[in-house]
Amino acid sequence: MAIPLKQLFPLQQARLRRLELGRYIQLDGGRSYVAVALLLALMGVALVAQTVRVAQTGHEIDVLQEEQTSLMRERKALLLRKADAQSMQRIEKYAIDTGMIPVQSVDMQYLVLTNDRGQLVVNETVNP
Amino acid sequence: MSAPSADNVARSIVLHPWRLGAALLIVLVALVRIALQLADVQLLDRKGYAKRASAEINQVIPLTASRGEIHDRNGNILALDVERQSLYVAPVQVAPEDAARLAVTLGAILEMPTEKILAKLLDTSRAWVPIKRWLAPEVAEKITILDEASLHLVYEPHRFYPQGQFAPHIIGATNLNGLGIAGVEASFDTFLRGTDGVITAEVDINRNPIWSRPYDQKLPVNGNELTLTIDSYIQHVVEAELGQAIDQHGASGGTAIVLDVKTGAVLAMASYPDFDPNDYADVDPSIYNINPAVGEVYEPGSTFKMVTIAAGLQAKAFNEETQVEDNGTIRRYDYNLANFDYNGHGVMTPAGVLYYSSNIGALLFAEMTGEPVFYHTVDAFGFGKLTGIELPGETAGIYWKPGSAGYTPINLDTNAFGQGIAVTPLQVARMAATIANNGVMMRPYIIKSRCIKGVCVETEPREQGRPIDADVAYRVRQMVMKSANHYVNAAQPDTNWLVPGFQVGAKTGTSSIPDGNGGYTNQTIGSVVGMAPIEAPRYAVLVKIDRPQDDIWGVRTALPVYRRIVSELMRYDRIAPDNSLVGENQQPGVINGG
Repeated sequence: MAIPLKQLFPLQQARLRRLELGRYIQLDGGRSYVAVALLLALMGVALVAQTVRVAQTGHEIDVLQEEQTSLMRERKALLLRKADAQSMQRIEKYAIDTGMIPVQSVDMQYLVLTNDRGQLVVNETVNP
Repeated sequence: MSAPSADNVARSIVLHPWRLGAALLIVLVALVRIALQLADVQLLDRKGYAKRASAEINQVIPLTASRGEIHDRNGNILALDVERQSLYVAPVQVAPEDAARLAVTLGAILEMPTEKILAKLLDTSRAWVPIKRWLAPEVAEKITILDEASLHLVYEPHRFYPQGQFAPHIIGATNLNGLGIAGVEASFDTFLRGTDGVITAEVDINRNPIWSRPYDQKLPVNGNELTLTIDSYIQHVVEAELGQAIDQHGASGGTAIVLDVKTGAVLAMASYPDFDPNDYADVDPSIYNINPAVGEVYEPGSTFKMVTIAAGLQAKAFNEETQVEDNGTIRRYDYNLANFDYNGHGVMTPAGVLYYSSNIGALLFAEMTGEPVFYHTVDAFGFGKLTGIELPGETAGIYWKPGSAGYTPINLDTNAFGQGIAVTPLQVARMAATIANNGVMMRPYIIKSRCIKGVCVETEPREQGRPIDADVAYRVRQMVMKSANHYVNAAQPDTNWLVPGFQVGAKTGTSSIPDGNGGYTNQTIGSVVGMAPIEAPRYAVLVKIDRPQDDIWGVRTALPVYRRIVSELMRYDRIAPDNSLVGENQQPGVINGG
């Protein structure tokens, strides 16, 4: 009875098969599946990258928008201060509080000036 | 351990084909059901499911547009939107044992009744209950320091009027929904309001958009800006003087107007009673719903005699030398008509009618002019018609024209001295401005410019007609200047000047208030209208005091206010006084007492 020597040295056989690199590359129909799987994987990575990018940009936008909102509120607060400072009632109160008195017409001098030949000419005065 | 019996072995091995068939059928039915469901979800009702999913994931967040600012002619801010924090509570987050303590604390900070706050804190039927809107920054700061998890501060836009109780009848107010309800806030509501935006996005628990993908966003378009013709300084002077006179005389109200005679621009317009636009709800709606300067009518009284004289001079029905005799009373159409004091002033010219404020003289000159010409001039001056000012609630006034149902021949006689005709204060001020502007009537306007995205369009002054010629206007001005000086001289010759140092025209009027039944009440309205300076007029001024309690005559209630306003206008405009126009005991520009 003949003994199949081939089965006695499986490791050797395996080594021989590994040496045939073509077998690893030559996937026949399976190559398409691998390619599709790779493509899907790449698309997944791209999607994740895009989502991360969107989230990062969104976060930056949120930060900037918060900054913008803060600046807008600051601007409004300054406008309010400006408006308050422009208030006639406030100006009048400030003048009274600081001891100022209303100017009397008799205290005023009106100078009507002309600039003929570059000279300032007093045309009229009203003295107390 | 016993060996398995033959029966058990047989049962474990035998698998009847029908069982396989049944199992296959169940699987098949399940697969079909899944396929049908899939078809339903993916094909038949695809849009419905997509919509429901989208509604759960994507929330709509409104973006409120900021309302446009309102400025005065010098750029001072009169109204603007600010963001103020509003306080809300989530009642489910309030521990019942802490509610009373929290209510007391909030009551002290917010100056609100504790019971009212406690009821809101315990109102678990609602997820989100407002406690107080638009807190002052320092109050919001105190709430923040409390660090209560159940309390939430949310920024909300709020219309704010930084000058407070200043020109409220012109500026107006907005309600809690941000809609204009009075003044230019109402008449320019759409222009000022802008368009709200919206964000449609997946949101977190605090309703902030999650940036898993770019979201749909429609940005708000902020409202446009208005600049008024009002000069804050003149407005302040007018309000202060008018308010003081109303308090002094115990009057029920009053109005004062200053017009730029060349353009028709309203430089100041004040009326009492007034209100603070920030707290408009504290006053009766009738106060902020009507601007008395354009929305209320009154009988102009003797101030209307300027129209009577101008009409006759324009039509050449009489001239400056024409004379009539004033005997104090006269009978017309079974009625006795009289001067205010029943005294006659003898023979008088048109100037005398204005000087003595003679009802009889005005009546006789109006009869000389005749109905057609008189009413043609009244119409040409714009009485009975809207002025076209950009303020809400303007009324046209009423008078009966010849041929109309309510007209009787005596109307000409009474209209000649300002009775039986209803006019608005602005119409009378415009009449004076027309005489001051050499007979050219300009449309009164309150909007100096409209700004859209930084591009401003100025309002062009618009002529509304020429009811009288320039020379007629000049002659009437000279007459009212003499009548003005007459008010501050006890006896002739009139050496004192109404406003020392300046030529100023003025005509007073005292009119009774109709009772609505064809008669008059015992209440009166004192008024004065005029222009300054006479030679080159810049301002037309009207002052009206309603129902003064201590003195019925306009010469003693409205005229002092008029003098002080005109004096201040001359000084503000840097118009030098003329030393030759000063009486013996007068000083240039100084108004002593009344």
